[in-house]
Amino acid sequence: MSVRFKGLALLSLSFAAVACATSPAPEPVKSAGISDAEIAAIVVTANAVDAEMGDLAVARASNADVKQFGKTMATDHRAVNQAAVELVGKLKVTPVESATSQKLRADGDAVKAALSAKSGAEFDHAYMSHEVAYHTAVIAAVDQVLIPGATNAELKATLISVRPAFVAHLQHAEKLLAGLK
Amino acid sequence: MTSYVLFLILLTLPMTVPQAKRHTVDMSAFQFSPQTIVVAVGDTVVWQNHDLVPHTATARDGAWDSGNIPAKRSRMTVVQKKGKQPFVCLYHSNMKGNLVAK
Repeated sequence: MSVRFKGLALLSLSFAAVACATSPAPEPVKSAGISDAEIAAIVVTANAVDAEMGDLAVARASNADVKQFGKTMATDHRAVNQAAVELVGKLKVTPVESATSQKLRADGDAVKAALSAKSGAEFDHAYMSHEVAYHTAVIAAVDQVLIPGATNAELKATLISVRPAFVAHLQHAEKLLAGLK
Repeated sequence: MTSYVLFLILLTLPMTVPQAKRHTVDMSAFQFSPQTIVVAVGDTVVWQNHDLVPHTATARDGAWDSGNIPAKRSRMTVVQKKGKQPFVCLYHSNMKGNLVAK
């Protein structure tokens, strides 16, 4: 198995694990390669999914800190996406959907549906648990698949520059989750 | 003669009044740099956000707040009081720093 194939399998399995946290386990998607256009679509989808999840937390969270975290996720992930869209426009790369980006969207929709059925402290705990798992998976994907797989230097540099955002989000999520009763 | 002496004294005054300084704190990779900044009351701190997401620099005691600093933008704070003043980013609680005003 090539390094790239291993990475993509890991990427798919990582996101599958996230989906498992709140919905039935989807089948892992396996891909044999990845292009910059596919990376762009994965990045845009991953950010969009978590921004929407943030909107849901703003609407449904009962804990003020969880609500604020959701607001920050919505703001930050949309800001990262704006930068990503500007970059791919500049590079004249059209994001191309792949099995991974489609699965990210489908899993995101499933998690949103599951979370929408919860409220109060149950929602807060489920949302923060999801955020910990999601950002853990995203960081693994960025480190092991997206950064190594990017061929364009600016795309690679952008992925490197957004990594600290995901790490900060993960640390924040872990701290909040630990504080929830 | 008295006027002349007074004129000379006035000339020297600006040299003895401390000039307010300008300091820059970078917000990059979700960290303040430097994390501790030593300033004087009256100095200006420029908060320069190099990240792709918004940040704030906000005193923990609420005494001052840069307000929202969009990506790639900056804001300024004029130091108003003495003492050690820990600050954070309101959006990202892991971003912490200390302002020490003498």
